[in-house]
Amino acid sequence: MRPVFRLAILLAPFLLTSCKSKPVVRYWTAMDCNFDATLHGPGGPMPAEKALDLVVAESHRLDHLFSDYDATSPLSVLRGRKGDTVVVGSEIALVLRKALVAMHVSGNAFDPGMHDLKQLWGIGTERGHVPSRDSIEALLVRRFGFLPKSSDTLPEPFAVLPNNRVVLLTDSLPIDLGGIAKGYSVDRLSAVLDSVGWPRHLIQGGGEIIAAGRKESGSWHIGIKNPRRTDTIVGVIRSDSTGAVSTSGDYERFFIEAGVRYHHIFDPPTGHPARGGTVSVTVLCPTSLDCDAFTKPLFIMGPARSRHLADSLGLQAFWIRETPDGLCARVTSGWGDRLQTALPGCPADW
Amino acid sequence: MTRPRLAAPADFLILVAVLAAGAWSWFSAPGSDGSKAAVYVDGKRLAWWNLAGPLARDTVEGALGPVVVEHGLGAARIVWAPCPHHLCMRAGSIRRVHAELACVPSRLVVVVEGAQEGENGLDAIP
Repeated sequence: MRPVFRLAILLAPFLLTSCKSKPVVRYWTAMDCNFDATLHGPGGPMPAEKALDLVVAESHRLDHLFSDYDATSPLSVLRGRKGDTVVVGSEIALVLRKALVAMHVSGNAFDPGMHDLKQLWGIGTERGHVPSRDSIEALLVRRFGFLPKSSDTLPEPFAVLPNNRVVLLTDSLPIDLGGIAKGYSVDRLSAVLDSVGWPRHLIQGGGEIIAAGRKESGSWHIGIKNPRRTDTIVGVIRSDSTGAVSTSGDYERFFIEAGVRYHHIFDPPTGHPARGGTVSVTVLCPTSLDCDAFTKPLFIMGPARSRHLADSLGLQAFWIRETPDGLCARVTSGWGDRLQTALPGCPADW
Repeated sequence: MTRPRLAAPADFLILVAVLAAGAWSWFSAPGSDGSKAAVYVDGKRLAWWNLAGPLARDTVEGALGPVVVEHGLGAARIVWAPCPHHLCMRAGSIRRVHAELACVPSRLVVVVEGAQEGENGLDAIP
């Protein structure tokens, strides 16, 4: 046997190993949450680490853009007097429009004017507590102009006009885009990676995920946490192409008082955390902005209305409910073989 | 005159064995050394520990000061952070690959890294 042939055989395993491109990962914090990005090859010509530097820088720009606590943030111009017209940037205008769409189609299960109520409850902080009924009602009246009932059509906090002009419809109301801006941001970060030659990637920001392209080793697999044992999973989503996944659950930020769990997903007309029986909902969408905008309404709304909303928007949703017998699941009909779960189905009346 | 043989039968046996070793190496390359708890601050990996090791506590410098991470026996958790609300301290332990803990004011993320990425593993857990 020729020495060259023998050498080639001996080197084969090492050559095979070195040809396999390992994903490059970055973890960081922005927008009050943790982010990570995983780049799968082949990509470039920009080196992966340089591409990730651009992604992190973009996340910090978006953090400032959508900050609701930074007095210098572009969003702060929305804290004017009722009737004022202000001009915002095109990105803020896009997200504000999406917020209004989510508010309308969900029948007020989404509201970008809940900032003060969330602060009052303090959920996710060390001062989390059940506020007095009077203090909740005072903030509801400030937000809506009256004490709403569940059947009321609620007024918008602002209107978006052409040329990115925004008319304020409530006095000095802090606008909270925390329930939707992360989704927009994850889409933006994905676009940055596409533009520099890394189209196969996964980005996660505060629970919003976009899995883009198709990685060399096959499909993307996204796990769904068990809402009552969050270090275990109760389902797996498989995706073969670009798609966004978002989960909202009552286990993410909460406190327990007198045996009752008070979580961070508010039912706007009541000023209280939603009590529809859902403990977690996971949604598969075309974009992360869609996912972020509609996951919380799908959590808040009752089972019949939320299934109708998911079907009408063409979204795939996976609800988990807690019953005296344990957890059960309800899914939309379009998942096919993209969702696997070991949870039993919920009773037909839910 | 006879043409020289490229390889003897024994060489083909060697070829099969070496290719099998190559295939094993191919499929086991990423993270085959077991799960680790890694700490990132501002995107930089500052520390990592084998999760299968004995229980231990280490201090890592976050943006606001020292953060104490407990790791070992298959899990990791944050036992002290100088953040105002201590959310990360109350987040419990992480065990699965891709599970994360974040101390946002400290700009610090603890993540379980390991060998489960791939067709039979998970890419993310939102």
